[in-house]
Amino acid sequence: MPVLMVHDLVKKFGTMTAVDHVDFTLDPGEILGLIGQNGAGKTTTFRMILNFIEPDQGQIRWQGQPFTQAQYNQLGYLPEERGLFPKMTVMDQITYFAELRGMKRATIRAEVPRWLDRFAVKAKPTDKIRDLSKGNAQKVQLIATLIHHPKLIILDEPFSGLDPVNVSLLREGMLDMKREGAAIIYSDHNMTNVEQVSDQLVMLRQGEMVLNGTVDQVRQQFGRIKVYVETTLPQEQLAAIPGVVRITPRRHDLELTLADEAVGHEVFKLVTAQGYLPEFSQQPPTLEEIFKLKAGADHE
Amino acid sequence: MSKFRIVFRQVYLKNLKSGTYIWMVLAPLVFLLIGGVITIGIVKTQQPVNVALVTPQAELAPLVASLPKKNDSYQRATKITTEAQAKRALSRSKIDGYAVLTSQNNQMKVSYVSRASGQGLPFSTLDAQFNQLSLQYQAERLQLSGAALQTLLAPIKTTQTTVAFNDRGKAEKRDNNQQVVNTIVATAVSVLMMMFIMMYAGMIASEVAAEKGTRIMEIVLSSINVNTQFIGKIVAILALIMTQLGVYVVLGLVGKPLVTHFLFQEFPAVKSMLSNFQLPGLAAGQLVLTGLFLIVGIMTYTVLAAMLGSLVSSVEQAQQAITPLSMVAVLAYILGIMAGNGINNTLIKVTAFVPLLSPILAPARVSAEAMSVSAGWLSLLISVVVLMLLYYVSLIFYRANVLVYSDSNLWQSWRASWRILTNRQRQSRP
Ligand SMILES: Nc1ncnc2c1ncn2[C@@H]1O[C@H](COP(=O)(O)OP(=O)(O)O)[C@@H](O)[C@H]1O
Ligand SMILES: [Mg+2]
Repeated sequence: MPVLMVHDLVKKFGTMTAVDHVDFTLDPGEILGLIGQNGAGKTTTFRMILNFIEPDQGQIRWQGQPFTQAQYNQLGYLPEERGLFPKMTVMDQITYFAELRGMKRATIRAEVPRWLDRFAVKAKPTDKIRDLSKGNAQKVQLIATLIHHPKLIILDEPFSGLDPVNVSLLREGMLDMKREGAAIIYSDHNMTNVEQVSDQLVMLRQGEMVLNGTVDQVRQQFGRIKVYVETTLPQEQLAAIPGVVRITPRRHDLELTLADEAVGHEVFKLVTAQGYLPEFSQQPPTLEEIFKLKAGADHE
Repeated sequence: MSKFRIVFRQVYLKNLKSGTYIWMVLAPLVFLLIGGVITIGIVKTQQPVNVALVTPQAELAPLVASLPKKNDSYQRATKITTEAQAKRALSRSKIDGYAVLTSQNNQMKVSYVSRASGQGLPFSTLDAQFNQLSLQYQAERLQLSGAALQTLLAPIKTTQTTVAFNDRGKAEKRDNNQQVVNTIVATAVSVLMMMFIMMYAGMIASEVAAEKGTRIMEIVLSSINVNTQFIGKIVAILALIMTQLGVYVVLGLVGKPLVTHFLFQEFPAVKSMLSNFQLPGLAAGQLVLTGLFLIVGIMTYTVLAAMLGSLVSSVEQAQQAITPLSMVAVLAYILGIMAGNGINNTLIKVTAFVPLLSPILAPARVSAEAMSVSAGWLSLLISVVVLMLLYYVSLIFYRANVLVYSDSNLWQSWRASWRILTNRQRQSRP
């Protein structure tokens, strides 16, 4: 049974529709990336899942049931804007949050050092939060989100503000939780981390779902509309082929965007007419390209 | 451990250890201590006046010797028996002054000599004693009978009575100082109530605003139900108040014997000074009433402050958020001071029953003996009912606001929260 099912979710603020008919399901051991630019409706979707605000329309099911207090202890939530009590010690802060998730004090105390180690937090449990660097404070908050081994983990833009080392620590952490069977839903405003960590991808634009599916499905959905070719032919000649939408020169080769996968045959014929060429590669667009394509596309 | 208890313990312990709370608990004690030290200091400098009473005439010596050696207003240097000795002692500041008793033609005469820099002699006491002595002397000389002498020497009996009226309209004896004491007690009650109310209101508002501002609120409210969290916070504040009152009760119980044993023994003058006054607030029922008003008053302000704190998005705005409450508290305080000073107009009579005002005003009026204790209980009952209503209203607003962030000003937040509320209600209607 899916851990989380979101069906036909709608939320309006006044006349503005922040979330517009959003659907997805999340199974145990799955990671879903909710991608969209600022204001796309990611946080609003999370707030409805967390029962902070009521949807205007649609349903949310936790293991088939509406949200009840029983779910609190199975949930881990990292808010978009991070915050901790500056005057508390690392240990007390994590203890407070973990106790609120139903963990025993003794268990928490025993496990905190291991978690600090795992996320390479450069702080002692007795250090005050205000003395931590921003990155370490973020990791402390992440530990507080995960320490009780939640079944559903909601991370609102967890990668933002992290340096590359911490980004990979977080990815590892997410994959560990996934292996333990947790379902994870996280948001991001770009596709950078989607490929490595996500099983599923939902992209929102102005509240609407513009993409939905596994990473492969999403990419294949566009077909192999990109051709990378290294040729001495003048660009004008390539541009003259019907169905070549755009040509972008890169360092060594050209990037051709096609209206249709089939146009690739015409391009191949033309560039191979003189025999040898070092590169010809036809691919689906990268997620980053899809993101730009979808984010930039007209609303209508 | 239940989630209520986790929130409760967190809020309770955090504030218990905070400097603000400790200062608030200690402040009245510090004031009391300073007051006590000043009083003792004043009493100490008022050491009994040292006087020598002498006479050059041998036949008067037994009479002089019969005068009391020590009383409330002076102490006699009994070793000094001649004027020459007295003069020397005065010049060496051993005594503050002396009196020389002489008799000429059976007419007694007293001349006082005192040092300008020393303490003044208690002339009226001394005069009275010498008058008495003179009467005795004349009676003996005229050979009056013992009974006649008794009659002659009997002083006039005077009594002074000021009355205050208690619940049943029965007059209770009060002396003139009582009104001063009533004013002092009523003012002290107003000042302390106001101080505690503002401190606790500020405490809960910043508590809420800080959690909201740091987004800890979001994590907490994804862990527990908002109602549980709200009541956890409110009950923690209640426990802090009880702790504070508990400290005072314990200190009172421990301190009372301390005061009576050491202070009164060391400084009998303090005892005699205090026994001149009846402390009006010290009747048990009245003390309990004041304590309950303190609790109910602070709780009323606390639930409202929690609601106001949930409107703002950062701890810096918390004080601004509770400004309307502060204004009400100040109004109550001013009315309390007025009531303490014996002003008894319709406004004050009515507002002593109005919640938010009555927690300061009613105890002040009861202290000033302008309001009966039973009327005080009625006012308390009204406050309790309104407190319960306000608790639910505050909870509803808190729930609607505590996760809504906005950069807009307070007034806009209010209107926005109102809109959220009315929207929700419209939606929840079938
Ligand atoms: N409480 C609110 N009141 C009014 N508008 C809101 C509120 N919360 C979010 N919005 C609006 O809804 C849209 C989606 O916001 P959000 O879900 O926070 O986007 P994201 O998290 O994807 O950046 C934004 O245009 C935002 O301004
Ligand atoms: Mg967001």
